[in-house]
Amino acid sequence: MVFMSARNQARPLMAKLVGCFAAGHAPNIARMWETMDRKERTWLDEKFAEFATRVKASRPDVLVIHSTDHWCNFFLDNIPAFCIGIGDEHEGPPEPFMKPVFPHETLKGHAGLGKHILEQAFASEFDPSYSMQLKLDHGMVLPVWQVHFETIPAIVPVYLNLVEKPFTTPLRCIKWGHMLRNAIESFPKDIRVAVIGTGGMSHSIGETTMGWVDEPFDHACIELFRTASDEDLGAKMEEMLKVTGNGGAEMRNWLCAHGAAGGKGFDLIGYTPMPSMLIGCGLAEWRLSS
Amino acid sequence: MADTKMTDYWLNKLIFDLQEAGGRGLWTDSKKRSAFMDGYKLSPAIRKALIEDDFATLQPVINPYLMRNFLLFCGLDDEESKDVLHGLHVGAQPGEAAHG
Repeated sequence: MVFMSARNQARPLMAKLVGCFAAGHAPNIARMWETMDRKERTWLDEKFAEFATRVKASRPDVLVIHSTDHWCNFFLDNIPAFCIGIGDEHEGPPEPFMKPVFPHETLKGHAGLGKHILEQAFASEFDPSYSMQLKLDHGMVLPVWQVHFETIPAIVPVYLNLVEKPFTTPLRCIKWGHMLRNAIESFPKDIRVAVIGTGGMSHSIGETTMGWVDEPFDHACIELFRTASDEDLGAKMEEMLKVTGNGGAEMRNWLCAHGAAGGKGFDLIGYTPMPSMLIGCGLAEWRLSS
Repeated sequence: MADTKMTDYWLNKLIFDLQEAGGRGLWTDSKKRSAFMDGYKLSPAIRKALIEDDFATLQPVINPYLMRNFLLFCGLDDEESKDVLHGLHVGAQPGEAAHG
């Protein structure tokens, strides 16, 4: 689609960032969906319904989802700090516990936007890897499942290494978000793009504090997202992540969305500590008009 | 402070591969377990720890997310996994200050 400028020159309409969101992705939400405690199920139903309403209201054509690779695509022989999925198609989640709730063998990609983000990243002094064939594990698709789209939008997955140190810094994730927004808004197609960061909030997996939900950490994150400058947010997160459970690393996915939103408009949809899911469960939107 | 603990490549490779090789069904069968281990360059100490479910030896050199899966493959549920891991909690640090 094109419009004519005052000089009568055709100029393509650019892609538009229409939403920035975040949501937890604990495997137990899928594993225990039909068996979990009624009170927890009600909370998840209500909060994910609100999340779904907001995501759908943004009418995205493409979702750029940031998540952790949970040892489904990469191993210790090759772990990228950032990896962009540039395939036309991706594999669905390989984990057996996802099959009953999200039985998709394949999911549509958006190679054009994926490649554009890749090129813009290199032009902005980021050096991500890329893949034309990724498996989208629970971290990528659990929130997508919970939106219950009639037609799932195309997905550009961005995997971050948040399982085996060293990790990229929190401030770099915010800057990645800035780069991402510029990339989206310079993509010469008339499409609507939403950015999602998944995972978190605090949790401790496979370490000697497994099951620990660090509520003070979670509340501090929420306050920082609401009020902190990018520099303060990055610096404080860097320190806070040293003394909370390892799953807190996934807040970097939220920081990517925060950066894309311009660091403003954080609106918490809901938070509750949920030990049976092994996470502090948070969902949020960044109001782009703020 | 520098992180002095090292992730054991072949041990983690074994657990990584278990995800698609049969997981709990394979690992809880002692004959299959032994045969599966033969495909990896495990040190004698690690092989012995795997045979004996010696989690105190294994946990420091297994990636935590793979450790979580490994405990599931050993037949432990979340509560049992927490019990095992909490029992190892002597001077350990959580989060990014710890072994990743």
